[in-house]
Amino acid sequence: MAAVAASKPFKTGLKQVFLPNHVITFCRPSRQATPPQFATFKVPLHFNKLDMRDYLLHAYSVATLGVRSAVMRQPIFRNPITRRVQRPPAIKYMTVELQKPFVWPKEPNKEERKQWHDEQTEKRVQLQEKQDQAMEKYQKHGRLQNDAVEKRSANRTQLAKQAKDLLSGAAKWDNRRDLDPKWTES
Amino acid sequence: MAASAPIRSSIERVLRTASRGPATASSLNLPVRGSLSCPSNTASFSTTSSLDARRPTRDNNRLRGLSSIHRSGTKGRMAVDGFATPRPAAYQPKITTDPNHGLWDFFYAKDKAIPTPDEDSQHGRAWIVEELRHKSWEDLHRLWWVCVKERNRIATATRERSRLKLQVGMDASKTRNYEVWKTMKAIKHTLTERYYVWEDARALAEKDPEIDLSGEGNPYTPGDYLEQDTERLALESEAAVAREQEKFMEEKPATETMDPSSLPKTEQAQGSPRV
Repeated sequence: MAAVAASKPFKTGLKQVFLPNHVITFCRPSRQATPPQFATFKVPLHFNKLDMRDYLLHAYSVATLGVRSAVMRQPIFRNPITRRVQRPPAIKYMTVELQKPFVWPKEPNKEERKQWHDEQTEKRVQLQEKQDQAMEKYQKHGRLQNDAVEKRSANRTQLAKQAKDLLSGAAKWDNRRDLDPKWTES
Repeated sequence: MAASAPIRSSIERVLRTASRGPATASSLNLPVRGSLSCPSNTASFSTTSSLDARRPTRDNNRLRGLSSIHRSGTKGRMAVDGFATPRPAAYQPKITTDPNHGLWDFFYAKDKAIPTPDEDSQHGRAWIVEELRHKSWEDLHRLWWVCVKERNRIATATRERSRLKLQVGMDASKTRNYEVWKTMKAIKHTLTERYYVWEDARALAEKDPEIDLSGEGNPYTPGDYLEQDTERLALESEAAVAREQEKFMEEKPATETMDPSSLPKTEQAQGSPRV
């Protein structure tokens, strides 16, 4: 730590905090294109940029070149008990520019996910996810969206293809029956 | 009309090149006064006609309608028109993270972002207050920072798990976090206790003649215990002599009786029960 303090390229704060109680969450970059020189953290609302810079330097020996902060307002919700509309406290994110790049470790693939979820749990979670999304859409649009509306079924796609072929002449219509000679075309 | 599309585009191209040519409408509309052979050095009476002939624009913004992201293309003729311009290569730089990078402390392992539920549940119990009472401030402070970093690690893993929609493993993580929290609570308990003890010790020291709280010189100057002992012995022997004398006096018959009115009034007042 002393080596870091000696090589620090900026003047750090003088106030000593002996028993800090903050929880800093390191967030995976949301965009694929985020350069590895940037790292985003979820920090307490009272944190400022200088706090963040000194915290990373002293606790993690990570030198930073700059800090950007953003306070994200959270969406409102209706409290199920009081029936009042409430807004959860905002969340502060800070993106620091690192002196040394850092690439996040890979996320577990489909095979590795089995260490957490067996097949049944995975199915249940996916179903729950689907229902949640449907509920969200219902609340947004005011009508229930089902699969038939959401996407074309395989039957319908096949029927459309057959109709198109028939109209263009690629396929000939046939009901596999001999036509009565009365109706033969002249 | 499928065949007409390429024809239409070629006509458009021809028209476009024609409009870019030198013989534009504006150049033809320049006002010419007098004969062409003797150029006059006087300014034209009015420039309105030539200004009118300019391309009508809404404002003087030269770059209106140009966009680098919507593929609007260039407006004017450019020197590179007609040449194959280089295109950006699909190049992804290979970045290697320093194995000693400080941000690795936010993870349990370098090869995976989150621990499995089995790994997460492999932890012991929290420190209890009785164990921490024997530790120095330096040790407690170090332990506190270990706890802080562990909580950061747990929070990072929890966020990642919820992002990946992994419900299993949340409970193990929560239990782990609770143990860390309990340790932090115990550290604060120990320090508070220690503070109260210090307060009491200070109050005692203020009364103690052997302790000097002025902050100058030696704070503790113990008295000589041998000296104390002799003093005590001397006092005891004196007391014994006095007792013997009292005995001797008591043996004499008490002829005179004590008059209660001669007792001091203050003693009486003190002896009376308070209401």
